[in-house]
Amino acid sequence: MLAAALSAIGFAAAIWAGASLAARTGYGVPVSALDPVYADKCTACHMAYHPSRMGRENWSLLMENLANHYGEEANLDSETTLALTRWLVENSAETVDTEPSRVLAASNPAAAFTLTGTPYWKRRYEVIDAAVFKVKPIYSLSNCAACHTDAESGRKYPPNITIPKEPTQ
Amino acid sequence: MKPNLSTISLPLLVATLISVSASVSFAGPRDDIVAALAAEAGVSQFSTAEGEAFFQGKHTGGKPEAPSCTTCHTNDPRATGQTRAGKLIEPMALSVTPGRFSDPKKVAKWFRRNCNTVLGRECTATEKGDVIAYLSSL
Repeated sequence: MLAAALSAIGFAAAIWAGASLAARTGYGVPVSALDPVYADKCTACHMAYHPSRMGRENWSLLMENLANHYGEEANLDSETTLALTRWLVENSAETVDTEPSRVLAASNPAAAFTLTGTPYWKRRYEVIDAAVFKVKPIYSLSNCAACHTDAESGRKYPPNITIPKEPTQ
Repeated sequence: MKPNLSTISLPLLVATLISVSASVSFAGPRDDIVAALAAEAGVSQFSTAEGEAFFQGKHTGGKPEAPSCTTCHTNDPRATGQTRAGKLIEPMALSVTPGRFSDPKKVAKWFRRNCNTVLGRECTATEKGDVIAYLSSL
């Protein structure tokens, strides 16, 4: 209840801060195109998480710690790391006016960020049985694109959700 | 003018295909990678059986949630795998994914990362060569 009230206040504040409704990107419209190097280098292990899904300080922190990237080594050469950090920060949650971006931009920048660990995410997904996420081809909470067909566009428009069925072998 | 396939004789077509495949089959990048590993390991040949045992086996020393190559690649290297973050992985078997083991940088990078995840250490040249031999034999 308190959280809902706070998010309502945050929402109102965002409008009051000068983001007029008319200036907003339309629902379902991609926020920014993926950088081709990002789309190539960062998708071997996971889908391309859109830069607008995390705050700029979190992106900087993440890119400084690729040697221990959610428990995996994900080092890139220094030139690529620098270029991708710049692009991620330039397109971070702070730069986009969508509800999740507003909420996620306000997340704690000091800690390593896991979208699915945020109260916001948990609240939005509590209606879905945890077992659903274990089913192939979803397999992992990190696999947003398994259900959100437009996840990599940074929008996640609700009508674009399809929960896949487990394939029969 | 479009070449009309029906006018090309079958023996000629077969002969052409054989000569094309012969001209690209020796000393490719994959052979160079295997030769370098063999030199490093000090062996003349790698073992598909050892490679299979290594690929299919359970290991310790790495992450408990990923004790084997098969955790992500499945126990059928001809099948599509899936990372723990849900991303699909092209089959490892050379027969299904012909581009496998042809880029030395890529081979080095993924052995380094994945051996660290599964075993908590780098793989030896013998282990790498055996695994490549196994996945190339399927």
